[in-house]
Amino acid sequence: MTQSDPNASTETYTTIEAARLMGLAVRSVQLMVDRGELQAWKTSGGHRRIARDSVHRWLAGRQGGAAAPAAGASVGTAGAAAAGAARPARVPRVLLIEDSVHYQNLVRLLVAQKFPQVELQVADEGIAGLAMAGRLQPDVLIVDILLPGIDGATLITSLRSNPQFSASRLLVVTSLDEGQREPYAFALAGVPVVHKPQLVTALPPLLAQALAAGSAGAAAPEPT
Amino acid sequence: VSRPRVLLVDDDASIRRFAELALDELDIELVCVAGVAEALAELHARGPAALVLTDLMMPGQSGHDLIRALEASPALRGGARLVVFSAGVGGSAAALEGHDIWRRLDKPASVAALEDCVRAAVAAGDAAPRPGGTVGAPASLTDEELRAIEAHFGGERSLYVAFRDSCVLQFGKDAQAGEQALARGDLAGLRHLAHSLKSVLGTLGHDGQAATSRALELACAAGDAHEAGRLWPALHRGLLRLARRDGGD
Repeated sequence: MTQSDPNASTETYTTIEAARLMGLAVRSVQLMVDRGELQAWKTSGGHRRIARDSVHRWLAGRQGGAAAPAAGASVGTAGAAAAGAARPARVPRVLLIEDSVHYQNLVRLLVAQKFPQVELQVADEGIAGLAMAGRLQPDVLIVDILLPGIDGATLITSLRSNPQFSASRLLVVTSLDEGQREPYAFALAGVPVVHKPQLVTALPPLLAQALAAGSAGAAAPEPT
Repeated sequence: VSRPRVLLVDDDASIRRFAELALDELDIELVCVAGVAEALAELHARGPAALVLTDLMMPGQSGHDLIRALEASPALRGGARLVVFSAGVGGSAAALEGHDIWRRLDKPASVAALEDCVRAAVAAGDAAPRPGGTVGAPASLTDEELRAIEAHFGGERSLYVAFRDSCVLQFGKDAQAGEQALARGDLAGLRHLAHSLKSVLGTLGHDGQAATSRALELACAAGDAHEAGRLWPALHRGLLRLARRDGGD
């Protein structure tokens, strides 16, 4: 659905403007254009210009599900989204509290590859991580239990019991094997735990579940 | 004709957004990533970019690490021009000496300065071609690496290679941190390092070194400085070998 029409600029958004309005990453909007889900033109310089109407229809579709499909533009994504939460779209946020640079990198790689819509923040120690969790209100917290400067059980218990973090789903990653985790059994009861050697295969499905559970349970207003 | 690909590496989301806005009118494909590991993964997956703009100070691995990684891997660097886009480059100027940096751009930069820099880099075309292989065809994976890809990476070879390359950058620092911990008798610090390395090395398929790390972790936990001092040198040598990409166990 991309074509040249230099006269269309007055009724269009740039990709960035559209992304902001839609609460999506720029890359997601580019993909929607490429898939024909938004009506778009290219300027003579090769830049996308997205029809305002198609953006507004997508937004209306997300909020009420009643918008009619545009002529020449599919709203498949809008239709699917309309069945979900009624709140405006926003970027899901994940906070990783992990001191190992190796595993920070591995989680970054995994999230970038499998969850490109997610904004990942990283804290490399527990106290800073608690502060960031309070400030960012992430949808999901991924926490290593052995961090310098803070007792792992205390950290997990704080994250689970403090109402400040109640909107965040918790996932634990650890190099501790089952036997070594016994001292943390009480704190970890009911929390999904990923053993680091299995992180690549075990984390993505758990993160997908946690993100889905977060969006399904997010009918309440966003924390401010 | 595909547009020149420009890779921006910056952990600050507001800088990435600024660059997207500032460069929106240029006929380029801008790819923004938040860290060195993602940058290497992007280059592994799609081949060299026309231009790499990198911040220096980032959590975990720094822009210096990325510069070293690109110098060590001509197949990833290709003809890319390299721009350091950082606040306070002056303080790090000495560390950049001798590296093939095309230009330095100080933050905060104006829209015009960033745009001019990218426009000039792209217009200048490829930097001098460097000798080296091609991306996607390193294929020199060892049997133990292939086993690890099946056992720990669900068969995803490119993810394994990206993770391995990011680890290579870090192993030299791990070796240094362990030396320092042992020298000051910091068994708790050495235990924590060994605990982490046990998983990293096992995930990469270096089972022998993972076992050494595990033994070192247990020795440190038991307060056995003699045994820790006996085990560390082998692990230290192994880390330095991996940092030089001389192979694993």
